[in-house]
Amino acid sequence: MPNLHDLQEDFTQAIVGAGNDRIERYVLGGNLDASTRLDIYRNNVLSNYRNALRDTYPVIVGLVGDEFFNAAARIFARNTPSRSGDLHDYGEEFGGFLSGFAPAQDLPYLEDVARLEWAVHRVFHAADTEAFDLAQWSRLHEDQFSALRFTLNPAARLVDSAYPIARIWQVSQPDYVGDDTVSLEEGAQRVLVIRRDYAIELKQLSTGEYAMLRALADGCSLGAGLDAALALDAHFDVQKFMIDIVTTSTVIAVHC
Amino acid sequence: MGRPNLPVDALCGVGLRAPHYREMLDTRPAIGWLEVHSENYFGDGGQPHYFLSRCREHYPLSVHGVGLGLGSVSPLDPDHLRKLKRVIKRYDPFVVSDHLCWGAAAGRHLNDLLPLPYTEEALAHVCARVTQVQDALGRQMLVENVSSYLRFSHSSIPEWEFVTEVVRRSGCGLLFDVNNLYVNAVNHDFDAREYIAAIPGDAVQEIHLAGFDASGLCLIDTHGTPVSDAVWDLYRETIRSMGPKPTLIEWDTDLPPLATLLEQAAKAQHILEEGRAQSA
Repeated sequence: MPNLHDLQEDFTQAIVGAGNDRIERYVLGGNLDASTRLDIYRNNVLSNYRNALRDTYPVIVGLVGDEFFNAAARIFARNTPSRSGDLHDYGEEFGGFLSGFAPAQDLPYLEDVARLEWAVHRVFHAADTEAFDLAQWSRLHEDQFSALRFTLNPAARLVDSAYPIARIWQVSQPDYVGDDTVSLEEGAQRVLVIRRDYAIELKQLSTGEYAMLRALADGCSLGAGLDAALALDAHFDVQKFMIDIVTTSTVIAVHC
Repeated sequence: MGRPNLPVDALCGVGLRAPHYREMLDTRPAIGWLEVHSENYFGDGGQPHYFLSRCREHYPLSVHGVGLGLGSVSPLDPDHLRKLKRVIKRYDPFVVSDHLCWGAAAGRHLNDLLPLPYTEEALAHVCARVTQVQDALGRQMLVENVSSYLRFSHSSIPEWEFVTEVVRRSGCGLLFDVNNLYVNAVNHDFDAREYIAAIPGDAVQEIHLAGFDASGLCLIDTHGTPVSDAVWDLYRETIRSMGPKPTLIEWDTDLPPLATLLEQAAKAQHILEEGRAQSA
């Protein structure tokens, strides 16, 4: 007779297919044998993971279809333990998994679309914030500028890709109207995912804008961010960009 | 429309799920209260909190968890508990509940409601865990009886005695799921009426009604179909025996239009009214 700790370990190993079926000795049979009863739990556990992944990755579901997605989800779930009692935390590694998933090798953009969907998922649940205090901005002196640091809006994330991921995401939305063909020739896209009035917005950024915002999000100073932007785009208009990210509350606070 | 003017004890509620947010706010149906899954509001902000805050202005709220793992031997997750406390502080629910089950071991969460062996060891463990959670939350919680598809050969206590002892030792309340009772009575061949008579009616502070799947060799609790006739009968018996209790129509998979939930709620409300008249 196992103690409670061993029973739960053995049960878990039987559910995740770790090759330990000791638990079957402690399960009463009756009209169904122990292994069939455990199959009910195996199936429930898998469908909980699969449904969580489907909720977080609806664009991937649409791109690859149910059968493909469910097969991928089954293998992912077997190899990726859940670390939280809250299934909203499950599945961050799904994009990385897809990049190594042999049947997905002809769809090289899937990994980045999945990373974009994870960013959308996190932004959807992120904190609400007050708008940037513009009075605070107007009190700053020009000689302070290059040392300024900023706090990114918690409901904002950056994703970049060699593929047109923002366009793929947009034409996949249920309410999208128009031409839904996407050419991979459209090339790399750098995307700001941000929530405004509870709606998710995807904004495409230039190479300079992306480099600068990435630097600011990582805690670099405005001066260091500008250097990063200018390295990629000699014509980068820092004034226009700063006004844009402050007035749209893409950043929400400035620190001298 | 709006809330009927009755104590919450005598009222039926429905689960508030994202596809119904807008309609719930716009139509404000005449139901007694709403239920949400606590984990759906563990995020810091955004649309879920916007709608729940608005709905909370019009209805009392029951906060129901699926992920605490009251029976898991692995330690309580402090982050999970912190987020639960935050939801309670933000929405001031009239009851807070989770399940009499376990969900994590060997360093991983299975994110399911897994069956406990009904032993003295498990009983002592669950009672200590419920006490720990109640102390951390600074309030009483309700524990819910779960559906199960297997029994352990070394279980030595009938389920109804186990449930009763958890209440007696930890001082928690009961969330009595009549559908789970029926599913287990069929799956494990015991008398559901004996169970209803045995558990402490005074401790029951919420009742769940839901549908199950009967297509296999075992009844499976899916929350995806209307309440069955057999469960309605057991519900009537429960109300006759315990008096009116706040009652939830649970529906989580293949979510139907809100109107379907409200029809089921109206049926339960009718049974509650009969119970109220009888106990008056």
